[in-house]
Amino acid sequence: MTKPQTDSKSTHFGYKTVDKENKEGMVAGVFHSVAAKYDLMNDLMSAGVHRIWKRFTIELSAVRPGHHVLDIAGGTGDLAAKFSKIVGPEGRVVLADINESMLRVGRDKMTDLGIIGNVEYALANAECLPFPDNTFDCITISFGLRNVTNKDAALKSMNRVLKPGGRLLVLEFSKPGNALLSKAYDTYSFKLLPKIGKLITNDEDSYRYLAESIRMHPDQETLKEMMEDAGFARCEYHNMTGGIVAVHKGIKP
Amino acid sequence: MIVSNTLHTAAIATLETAINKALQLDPSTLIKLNTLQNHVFSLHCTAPEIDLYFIPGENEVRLCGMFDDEADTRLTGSAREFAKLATATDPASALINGELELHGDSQALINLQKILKQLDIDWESSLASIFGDVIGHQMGRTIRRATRFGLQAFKGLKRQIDDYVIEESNMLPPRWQVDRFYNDVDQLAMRTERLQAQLQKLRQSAKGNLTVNLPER
Repeated sequence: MTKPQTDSKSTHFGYKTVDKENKEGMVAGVFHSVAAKYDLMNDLMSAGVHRIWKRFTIELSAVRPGHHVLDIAGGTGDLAAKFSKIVGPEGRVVLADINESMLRVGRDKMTDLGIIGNVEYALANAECLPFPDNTFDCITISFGLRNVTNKDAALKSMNRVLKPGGRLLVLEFSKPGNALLSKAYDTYSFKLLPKIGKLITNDEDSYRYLAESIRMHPDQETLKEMMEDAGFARCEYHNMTGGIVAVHKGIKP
Repeated sequence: MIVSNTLHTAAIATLETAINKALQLDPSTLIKLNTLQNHVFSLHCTAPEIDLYFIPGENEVRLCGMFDDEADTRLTGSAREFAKLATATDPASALINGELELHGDSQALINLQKILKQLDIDWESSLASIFGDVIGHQMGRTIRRATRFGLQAFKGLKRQIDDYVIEESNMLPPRWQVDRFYNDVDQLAMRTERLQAQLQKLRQSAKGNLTVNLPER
């Protein structure tokens, strides 16, 4: 897969081509619809493996007590909850999401778990993050970048708010390396996934969008190049579960 | 490898959960571990090849397969050496006399070994929270007696089997012979590696001479 070819005014929404200004609203619609059962669906769709992928991302983050961490598209706060424990009372975790419903579900979940004190919440667009330059030691974005309209602008914005030496971790669906696995994965995501979505959230379209948006997302090498173009150094990626998911890491020089 | 990262992380997550569950049943060890809070221990096992990071936190420990930063204490060696250190009554001398390679803060490692060795899991409290105080206490006492008896029986049986297998039937060599054999194998492996390096060096110098001599022919 290569960088999606669209003209300057249009972008992709799954397999559809839509106006750039409309994509944000359409993605918001998808996540408003799935927010309430987001965690349950994630567990069902990945058989719980998404927790392992997120755990691996945390291991790569090398976050220590006192660090400031930004979790973009943090959704229901899986990563932010773990980071909150690691950074301790001297540190700070900001859970940011563009979607109000997701952020509300995440904030309620974290508060119910007693994770308070060092966590802040921000309704923010990844393309223009509302934070000063050089603020965070680590930024993570898990399963969020593919929904961002202008990925290059988002990566540049992340680079701006990272401290020099800070690291960006992008956990995202990617391209499986094995042809057989790829075939099985396609069958699963286009035939079975929308049906599970219909059964649990009564929303087949949102999960069809999920499968399509994964295929339209840049592959491992392309995303690595995009990170380098945005100003990150020492970019590398780790494939997980045969490349179904990859974690990209980049350091702000 | 299709699932290596995923499987490795899943195995470590399971181990971390098990350790934390055990620590919850021994609050005194948990309090002692707080003195080592946020100290990063890196355990690099060479045979089998496994990397593990152990980070005590507040009321729990973190285990990681990867920690992309400097560890405070780094320990490298084979699984056999790690097992020796874990069971040693005097960890300081085990570290000095053993073959583990240590970098960083050694005192923290000695403290960690001592704390973990004193781990005494209170099964009774978790049983009492499920079955109530009276039944929990009875079950706890039964388990303690059974464990004590089991350990004694196991020790006795092991001693007798050792005696029979090694001394009477001569089916297995005694421990000192096995240790000597392993040492010899290690020595041989090292010598072979040195020989290989020498051969490589000679081959390279021979190739160099050939290249230098070629234009003269």
